Amino acid sequence: MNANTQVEQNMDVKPHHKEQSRVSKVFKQLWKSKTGTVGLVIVLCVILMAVFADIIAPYDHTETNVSARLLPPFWMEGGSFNYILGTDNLGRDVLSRIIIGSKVSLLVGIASVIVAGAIGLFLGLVSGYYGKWIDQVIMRLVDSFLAIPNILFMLIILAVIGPSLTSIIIVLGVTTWVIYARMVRSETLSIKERDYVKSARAIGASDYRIIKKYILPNVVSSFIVIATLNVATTIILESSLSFLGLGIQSPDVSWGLMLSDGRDYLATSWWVATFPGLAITITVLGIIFLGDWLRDMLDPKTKS
Amino acid sequence: MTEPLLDIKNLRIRFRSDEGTVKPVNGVSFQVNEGETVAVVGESGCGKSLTSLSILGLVPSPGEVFEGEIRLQGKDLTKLKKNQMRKLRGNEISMIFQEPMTSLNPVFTIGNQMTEVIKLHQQLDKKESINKVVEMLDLVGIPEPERVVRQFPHQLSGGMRQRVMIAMALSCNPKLLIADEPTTALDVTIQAQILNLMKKLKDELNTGVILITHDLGVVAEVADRVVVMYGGEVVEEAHVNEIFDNPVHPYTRGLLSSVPKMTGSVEELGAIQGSVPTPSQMPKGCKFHPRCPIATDLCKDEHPNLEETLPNHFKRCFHMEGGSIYEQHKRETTT
Amino acid sequence: MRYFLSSILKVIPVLLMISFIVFFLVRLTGDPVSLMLPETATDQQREDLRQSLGLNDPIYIQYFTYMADVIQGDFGESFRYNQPAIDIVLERLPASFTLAISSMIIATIIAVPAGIYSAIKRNTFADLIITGSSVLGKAMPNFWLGIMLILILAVQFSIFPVSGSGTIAHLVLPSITLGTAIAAEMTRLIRSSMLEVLGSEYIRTARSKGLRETIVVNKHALRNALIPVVTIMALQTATLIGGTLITETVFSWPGMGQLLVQAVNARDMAVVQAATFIIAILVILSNLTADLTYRFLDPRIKYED
Repeated sequence: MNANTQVEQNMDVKPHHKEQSRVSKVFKQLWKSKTGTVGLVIVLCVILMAVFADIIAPYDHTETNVSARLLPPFWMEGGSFNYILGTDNLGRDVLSRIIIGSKVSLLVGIASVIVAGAIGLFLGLVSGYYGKWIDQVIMRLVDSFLAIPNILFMLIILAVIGPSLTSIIIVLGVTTWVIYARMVRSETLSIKERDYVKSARAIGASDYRIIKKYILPNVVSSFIVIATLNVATTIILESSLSFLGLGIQSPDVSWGLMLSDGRDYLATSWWVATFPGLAITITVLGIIFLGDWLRDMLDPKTKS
Repeated sequence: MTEPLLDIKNLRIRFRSDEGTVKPVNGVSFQVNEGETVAVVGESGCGKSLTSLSILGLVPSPGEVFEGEIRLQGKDLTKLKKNQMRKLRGNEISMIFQEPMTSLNPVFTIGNQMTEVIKLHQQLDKKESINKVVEMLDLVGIPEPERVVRQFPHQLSGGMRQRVMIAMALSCNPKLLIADEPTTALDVTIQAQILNLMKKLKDELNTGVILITHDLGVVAEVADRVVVMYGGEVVEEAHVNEIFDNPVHPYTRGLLSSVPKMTGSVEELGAIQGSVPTPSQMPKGCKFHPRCPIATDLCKDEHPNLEETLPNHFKRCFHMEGGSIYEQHKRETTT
Repeated sequence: MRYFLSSILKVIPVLLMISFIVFFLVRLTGDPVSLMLPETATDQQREDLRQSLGLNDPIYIQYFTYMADVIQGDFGESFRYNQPAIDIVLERLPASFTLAISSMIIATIIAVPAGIYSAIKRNTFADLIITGSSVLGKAMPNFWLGIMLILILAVQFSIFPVSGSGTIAHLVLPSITLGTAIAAEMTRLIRSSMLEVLGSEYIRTARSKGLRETIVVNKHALRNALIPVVTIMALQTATLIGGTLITETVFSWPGMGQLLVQAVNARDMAVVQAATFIIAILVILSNLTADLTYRFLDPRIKYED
């Protein structure tokens, strides 16, 4: 008797209580995870910087000034507040180039993750859901991609089709889909065998419906975590490509390209290569912190 | 009376964290004599396993013994330095754990893991210690001990692994053996074999044994004396016959009345309502009162002491003088 | 042995698939004829060359001819060096190996003690520093770290040469660059693997035997903790080789990575193909080795076959 009323009360109170506490729980958890907070703040700052880049940047990133070549940052002798982080070999403002470069880095990072995620999701679902020979083919394809370093793959393709913003995004997407495909496939395999999916199939639910109703909701949280962390990976890959000369091309600017330019002036002007590298490191650090926090929140089982 | 082998006095263990301090063991005292088997019984979470780990100085961090004494032949173990404590482990005190499947290291051979402890505590060379291992494996009834020495744990059955654990624990002739649920993970026939083995070895070697269990069937079979724990304290202690024939504390009675006939597991208690409170939500007064059928207002406010009501029979309860109130209460409720 | 054969059999389709991908990529590069002949060549000359190269054959015939050559190790001639591409690639292998091995040594020297220490001192200041540096190491682009090392240790303090090869001193900076990048990942893996193992029951048993803590950690825990680390690290061989591509370019280290980057930029496709194949084979071999090591470390595996 007593126990019964207690259960009823619980049932009654729970849904409402849960909604409320869920939101506050997320914030509490975020606050508690200091790195998560730091990550979120960094990522928000970079996004704001990229969105309002043209407004914030003191100069145009292509604006050269021959009389102000290789000026040091403001705190050094010869530096001035006109060029807070100094200028490069063509007299372009380093700070402005970093601000405008954030657009490319972020765009490439996010867009290529979307491309890779779409390919990986599709191939992973097909492979895990239909199995048999198609699974074999896709898995050998995965093995092949794992046997060739991403960066090499990208270099070859870009050498063939020529580097441009679009081609870089596509190439990054086409070479990094493997991680999503593997995750989606293994999740699909395990969900497919569960009783409720089997019974749904027995009563004639279509593949499309089963995938939409049972499989997708189960992969979504792992997917978000991997995608977030992969934005960091693709930002680094993009900068590596630009550094190797097959990424973003002048007059566009990305952090990797700036690094590559600055490398030739290391002996005299350290700031040209140092600040874009710092920008990459801080951004990637922020994304990793945010991704790790998301993993703790959404997907405790993939904790490595 | 001679000095007891092990004398635990007012042992208290606390865990400190950001959320506060909990004391899962709070004032435990009992003794073990040479050649005696003392069963410590209680539901999961009563502090029995922590008590046993504290004897070895292996309370997992951030837990710590912050009060009380654990005397082994008069020597207070809580005062020993890490290194001194280490020399006692596996030598004078050894322990058998619950899970034979996971308590042996999967990547080393049985011989490797057993000679390790023998070489450490007894000055034997490699060949002598292997001979000793074979001898011990033979003693615990493992067929073909020479072959088993070279095998890995996964190649043995659960019962065989537990025999290995026992052989390992006894290989340095410990004065005190702690067995934490040694038979829980095994099937019934193997259980009986292991218990008989332990009984036989104890008599031969005159070892004092602490048997941690929630299995009253096991208690009846091998124990000399029984310590019942609840909520981090001892609530009743008496000779095994006394406990079974004349249990005084309502909790002990609850445990006994819930024993299923054959296997005797009390992990799920039918006769006692409610569940064990967690250390952070320990009630005031008598810790058992929320679940006690005869609790009064006194029990909610005051904390009873452990008292010797009958000779060598201790209980922690305000009521229950020889069981009269309980009987009376029972009569009232049934009529 | 049977296991070994079956894994070799699994490798064949992967190599085939790679040959497929590389073949089509190279065919997409455009007309090899226009790269090989001067611009003044007549149409007739071009057509003759196409014919002799078999470029007028159907695409699948071209693929089979190509495969037949590849199996014999013939990837064609490098037009930059006028030598068989495979020879040029193999010539560069030792330099890359030297770099890879010295980086792995540095990574192990850093990561094993750091990973163990941060696991046993979990949630202390030391742990915070170690995990913090390993995250930082992951966040820093490898080539930037290389540039910063050049800036500080070569340009500012002139302790090591800026780039090039020939002496041990030349090897130091590239090895540190690549080694710390590997160490960052390895430390994290060892730490989490150690934490899991240290909580296991056989570790409690080992402690209850009275073993010294150093033996408990370095014998009982480490051996178990390394099993997953070896597997995961081996799966990262491709990433590691990708890292040598960039590191070698930053430091002008004359290995296969630098050669590849130059070949790609010059569209020297014969060299690119040869190097890609060699890399794929190396990655597959390292995965096989890891599998064998895994079997050596974990006695449970052998008997489950």
